[in-house]
Amino acid sequence: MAATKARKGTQAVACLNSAAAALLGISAPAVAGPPLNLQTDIEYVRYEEEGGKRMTVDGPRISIRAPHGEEAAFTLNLSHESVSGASPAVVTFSSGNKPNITLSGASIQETQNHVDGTYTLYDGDRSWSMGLGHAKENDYRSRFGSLSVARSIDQGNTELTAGIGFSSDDIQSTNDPSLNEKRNTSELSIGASRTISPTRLLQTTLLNRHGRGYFNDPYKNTFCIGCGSVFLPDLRPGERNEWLLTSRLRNHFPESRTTLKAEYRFYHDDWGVNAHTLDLGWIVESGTPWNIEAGVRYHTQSEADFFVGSYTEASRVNQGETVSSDYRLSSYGTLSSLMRLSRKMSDASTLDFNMEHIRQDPSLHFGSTGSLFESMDAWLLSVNLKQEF
Amino acid sequence: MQLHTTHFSALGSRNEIQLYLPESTSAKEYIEPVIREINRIEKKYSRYQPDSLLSKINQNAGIQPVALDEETEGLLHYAEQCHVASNGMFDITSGILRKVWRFDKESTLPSREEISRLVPRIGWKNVFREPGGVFLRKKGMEIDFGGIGKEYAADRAAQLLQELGINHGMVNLGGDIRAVGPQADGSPWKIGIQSPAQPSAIHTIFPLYVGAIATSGSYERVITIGSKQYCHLLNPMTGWPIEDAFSSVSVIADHCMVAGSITTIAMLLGRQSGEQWLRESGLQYLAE
Repeated sequence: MAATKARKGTQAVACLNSAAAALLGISAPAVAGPPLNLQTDIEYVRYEEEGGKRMTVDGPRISIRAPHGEEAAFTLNLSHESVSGASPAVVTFSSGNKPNITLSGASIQETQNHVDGTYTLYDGDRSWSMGLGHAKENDYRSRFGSLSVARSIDQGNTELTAGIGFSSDDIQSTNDPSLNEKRNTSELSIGASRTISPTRLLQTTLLNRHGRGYFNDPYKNTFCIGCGSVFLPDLRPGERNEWLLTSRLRNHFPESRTTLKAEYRFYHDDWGVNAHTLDLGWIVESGTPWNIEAGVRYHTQSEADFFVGSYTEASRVNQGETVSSDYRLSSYGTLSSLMRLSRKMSDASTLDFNMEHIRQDPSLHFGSTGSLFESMDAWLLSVNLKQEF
Repeated sequence: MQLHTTHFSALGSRNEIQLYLPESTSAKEYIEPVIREINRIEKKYSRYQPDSLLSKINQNAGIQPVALDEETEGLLHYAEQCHVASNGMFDITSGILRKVWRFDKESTLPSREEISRLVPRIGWKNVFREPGGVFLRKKGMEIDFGGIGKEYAADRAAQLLQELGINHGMVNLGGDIRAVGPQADGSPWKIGIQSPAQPSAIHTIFPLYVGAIATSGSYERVITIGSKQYCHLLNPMTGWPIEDAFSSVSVIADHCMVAGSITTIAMLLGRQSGEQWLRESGLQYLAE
């Protein structure tokens, strides 16, 4: 045979060991790909403000994610929610200058249907996604689409993403059957996520959204003392340019079987709203069939340039054309605390119970006290079943 | 702690991952990244997929160099160490002999001419490596990571599980086995080795606490012509099967890659040199 005497064994093993250790020392790239099996996520959500006295939202949400061959996946999201109650319509002053939110006379009773689908193709270190969706309420319709691309570099430890999106909305009003307005929005986003180690992930995205068209809320009015008409319609700029920066850190601690989630969002728009949101969550794998997640979220925002609680004829001159008393454009803060109990039913299914309490209060606004609105408490409860087939 | 066993197909074999996890924990979070990692390695280094990096290297043989990442450079460096250690018997350019050698029941011997046409295309010396790239100098030559790739995937899978916090688990990729710590009660995994004479019977049981075990057998894929048997292990220098190969060799080492290549080299060296090679390796082995 041609076999000649080989290099002496122990020396050879040492060389092979060192070559193997060097190779395994190169960090392995994290790989993205379609899910291995069909996944479903069924959720029932209930949201209520002020113990159900203001607004409640109820309904199921279904999400299906299915592999299509080895290199593609399809995601379908459906929701059907009924909204009831009344959204604040006008702000008036009671004695002591404290603004009251007066609810619109006719209570809202409507359903919101939402469907969207995304198809993603995976090709080595790249993936392409295309999404289309439709949302409908009795006085609102939105059609939207998106395209995005992701590419992993640096042995797959860094993923870069870029996306564009469009939406076209039709706005109507049950109070004014003649109202039929349009709004078009386009958005661009870029992002990077970095797997620092198999247990630590850092992600940042920047999004710019530009909308043009009808932004007024046809159900909202502003109270004006001494004006010809006491209630002036909500009137906002016909254009809005928004920026959103999001940074996320997820760190798993294998020794203690816990995971830290931290997220910070900065929002800015050309209506003068600046907002900061900080989200902190802690997941504990308890060693029993139940896992627990606890978290807090703090949000603070400044008011839009054209926001007023109410105003007089004299101040109306300085106000300019645009005016809104929508509390969502006021300055305020919210503090939410959330708890999730997760019950593992089997290797392929998990049942989650989520509970979130949201406290919205002008005094929670960072820095000076926010707009003089009353505080509000809301609860968000949901049950969620995740299943893999 | 509860034992979770998952079976899946990849790398042309049936594979198994066993993990001990606390009662409440879902195995999916651990299994899914591991299977993705194994699929990634398969896709990158498969000789059957025309868009794999390996196929790209082979398609450019004799034409132009191909850019490499750190991982592939590491694998080629490892292959070179095996080549040096075995005095040229382990050669990742020898897979081309599969074009004429088939080892199923109806196979016949290839002709001398067919073999001698292929032998000039074999030779690690014609794999020209430079930092960041590789060039196969001869047109029509090919490399593959048989004998390294599956073992590498087992090591990677085990490493990933370790990084995810697993202390009690085992990865078995078609017989290339790597333990991630012992079983939950501290006892070793028991690895049964088939008997070459009676493949349905377990012939020896190796206890494995940590590290890896790999087995190579020459008894499964053979051509029998008259009384002579030709095994599937081919001498890269002659293009003909190894004549006095062991029936089966198993080796225990820290890394599955090392266990696998020590085993393969022992087979390629033939019984006499192979026995000495195994003895001098200082590793625990079983050869017959």
